[in-house]
Amino acid sequence: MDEQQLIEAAQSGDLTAFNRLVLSYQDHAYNLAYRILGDPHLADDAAQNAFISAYRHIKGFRGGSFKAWILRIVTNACYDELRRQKRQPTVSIEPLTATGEEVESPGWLEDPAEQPEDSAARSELSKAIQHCILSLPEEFRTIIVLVDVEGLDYAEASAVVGRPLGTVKSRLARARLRVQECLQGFGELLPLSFRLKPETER
Amino acid sequence: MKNKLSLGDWELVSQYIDNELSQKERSRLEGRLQKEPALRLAVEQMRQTRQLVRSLPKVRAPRRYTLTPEMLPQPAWILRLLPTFQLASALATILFVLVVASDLFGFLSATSQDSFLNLRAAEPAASFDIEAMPTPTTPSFFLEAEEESAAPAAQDLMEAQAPEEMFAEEPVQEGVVEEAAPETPFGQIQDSETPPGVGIMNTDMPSLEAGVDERGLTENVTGGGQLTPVVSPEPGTENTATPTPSPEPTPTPTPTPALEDDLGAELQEEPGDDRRGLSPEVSRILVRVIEVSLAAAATIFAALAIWLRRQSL
Repeated sequence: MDEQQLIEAAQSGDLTAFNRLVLSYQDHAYNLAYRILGDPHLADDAAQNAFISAYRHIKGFRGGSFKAWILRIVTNACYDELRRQKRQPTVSIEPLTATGEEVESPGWLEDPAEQPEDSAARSELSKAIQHCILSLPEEFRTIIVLVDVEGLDYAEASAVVGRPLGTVKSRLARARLRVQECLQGFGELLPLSFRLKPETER
Repeated sequence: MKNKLSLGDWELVSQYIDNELSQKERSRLEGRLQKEPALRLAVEQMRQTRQLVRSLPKVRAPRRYTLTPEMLPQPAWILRLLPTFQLASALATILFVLVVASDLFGFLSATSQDSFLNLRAAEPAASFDIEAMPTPTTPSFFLEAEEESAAPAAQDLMEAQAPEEMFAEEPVQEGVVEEAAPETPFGQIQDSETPPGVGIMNTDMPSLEAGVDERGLTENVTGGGQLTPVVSPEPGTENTATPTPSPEPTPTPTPTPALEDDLGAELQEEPGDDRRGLSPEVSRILVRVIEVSLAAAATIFAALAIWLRRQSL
């Protein structure tokens, strides 16, 4: 069965057909959630909730890019999680020093997404990039992950975030510029060509 | 001198490296690239940034996110009523429209009922009025005519005619009419100007009640010496001996053969027969109550359906 047939079967209530679609897109869903949320556990919950929500609303899929439709649900689930975190900030469980201060661990340098079964290369550069992406505002973060990480084109990204095409273009440019400026702070980690300063700044 | 690009330029650069510029914009930017080194550098930096972000490893899902029936939220029992409420709302709306349409077109309106009821009320009343009229006694105009005519002549006529002929069930021929009633006690003679049998046919009181007991009429005819109009047992029957009234407007409608049947049927109604149904005012109120009830039901069911649908989402 091709994807369209699976979608139609899922819309008819075939859970097995829907699960086949889940297996096809779960990596994209988790990757997006992880890059937006920056936490593997939160990304896991968001991805699971997103697929449950997708099954409930599968009849609302009217055609087009099913990947964009799924990723939109994942994005919304991530936004829900971010809003929940703002309302209920988590308490740090970092150990305290003798003076009562938290031991600051460079958690942002770690890549928790790396699992034993994960083949992704361990790279400080990727960690730095992830750090810079997480420093972006939510809207910019989502756009750059959708376009540059997930490979969506402008139209698909526009459909995912529900914003006009011009907004997507503007936000993507500003997100890239901010990441570029952020990466400048990691000097030695960057490729030599990236570290080259503009001629006008020399 | 620091050459800082504007945000607009950075957006152009970003779209340029993604091939999202129109042909016109692309040509314009490429023209600038040849002249502006800062712009060329910006393009290069933007490409590298995009490449770095694209180099991020694709993290795989730590587990399967396939669903099981237990994971799916079961709708509350009340949510299963959503289709029922939707159907009920639709039915109530359809019935409401039908009732309102019927009311507007007058099928259920009080006006039509009034007229219908009045008509039915009038028919028995007319017949009852006729019945209430003094059958044994002669109406005034008859009496006046009687005074004018020769009374003995009338009595002679009545006595001369056989009772059977008076109540002949078969239609009387023209010749018979002329033969038997050459002269009426009221002075109306069956002359050539008067169509034979017309006067007889136009008799009001006597020929109205088709179901009147013949024996009773016979007694009236034969006893007392009163001039009793003879009633034809069947419509259309011509009684040769029936005195014809003068052609004056009568207070009661002229009975026709068809009407005689209806009136006869009406007379058979019992006094307490309630064929009229509900009174007009009660009918109006009932229709309004039905309309309001259906509208309220449609609204309530629709609101419940909308609320349940939102709950299910």
